[in-house]
Amino acid sequence: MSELKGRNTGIRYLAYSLLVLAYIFSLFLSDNIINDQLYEVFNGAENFKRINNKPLTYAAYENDGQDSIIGYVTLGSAVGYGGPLDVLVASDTRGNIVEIKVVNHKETPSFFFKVIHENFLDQFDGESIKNQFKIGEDIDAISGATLTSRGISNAVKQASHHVAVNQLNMEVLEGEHQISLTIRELSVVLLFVLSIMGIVRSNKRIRWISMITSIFVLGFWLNSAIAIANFVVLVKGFMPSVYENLLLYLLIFGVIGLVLFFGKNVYCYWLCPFGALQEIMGKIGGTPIKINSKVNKRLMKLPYLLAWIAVMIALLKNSPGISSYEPFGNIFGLQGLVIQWLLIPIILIASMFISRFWCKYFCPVGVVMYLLVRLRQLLYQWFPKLYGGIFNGKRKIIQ
Amino acid sequence: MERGKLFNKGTIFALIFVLITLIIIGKIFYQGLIM
Repeated sequence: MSELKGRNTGIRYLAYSLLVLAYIFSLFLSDNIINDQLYEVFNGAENFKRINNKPLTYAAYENDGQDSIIGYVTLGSAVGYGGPLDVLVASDTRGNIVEIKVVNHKETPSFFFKVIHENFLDQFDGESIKNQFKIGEDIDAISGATLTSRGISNAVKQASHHVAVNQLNMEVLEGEHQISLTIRELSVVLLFVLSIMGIVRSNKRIRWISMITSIFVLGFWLNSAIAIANFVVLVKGFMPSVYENLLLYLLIFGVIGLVLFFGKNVYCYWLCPFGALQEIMGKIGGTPIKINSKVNKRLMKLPYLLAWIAVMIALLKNSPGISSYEPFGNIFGLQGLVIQWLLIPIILIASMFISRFWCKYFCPVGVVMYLLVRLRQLLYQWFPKLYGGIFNGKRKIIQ
Repeated sequence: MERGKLFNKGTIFALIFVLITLIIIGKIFYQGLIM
């Protein structure tokens, strides 16, 4: 028995070590833009000369001589949902955008595909490089891919403003950084308050109200169910600006804070819209299936393996969203890889017979929550006075 | 809640669904790797 325990601990340490190595490896991965892309983005230019390194800027010439500048090409970078997006912006000497092209991205494939497919980039053609490119005002976001739309807009803004100020001596109004608190953020705060009330009172009815509200708020309305990609983005430092993405910060840090405070996985059982949907299916089907306890115990280890593989792929490819296999975007945002769509009927049907089928055997977010709970336990051991003062850690929480 | 013989009907049902789901997740990982 102790031999088996030792082997398991060994495997766990090996898994953690490989994750750390993959993380270090990912720090050294870099992407180069190919010169050919310059010609693609600036049709008509025959020669390019690099005139600045940060941000990378090229002067575009009509012919081989260097006296006929017809415009500039600049590389702007900003973060979307799953990681950075590098955008080449070509502009003419009058200060209008000729064309833009995403030359490199670490975005979640389904979001990126949606943005490209719905011709989001065309909105920038002909726009002045002095434009603020503000989503919702100057540029229309693609519904269901707001963070990606905003990331591209920010990259275009960064690149074009650089050319406006440094090459064309234009005056550009830099927008003020202001945190915008909208109905979306307030709804999430209210949902948190509701669930905290329920947790503190151990009230099952409030848990159901919280879960059903979450299906509509975090699910169908905001399409913001937490996914493993969110945590990889956090660890990699790819989080977009808090000024424009307060909702994301509220959700991620709110949930981490709640789990660390209560010491229980309160997200999955109180706030996760997909978990709630499965519980409703369970109520409909009655979850009559009895699984052999040994098999069940083995299967419940699957999420750890799957989460590990997902994070390893994300780190090795330096692209947090690439291996996010959860079907949350499909069901709540009607977007996602074709293959992910197949998961929806399977999970929903299985959840009628097996309680929280996805959560139990596949969900990587549950693994992160478990690790946070473990962290809370360790913190409690290391700093008993600090934690004991805030919360005695013995309160029973419905799960 | 979970009990019964090693391979009772419920367990086989669960294993089939788990296997199908794993195949799809495997395919998603593969797509991510080759991308």
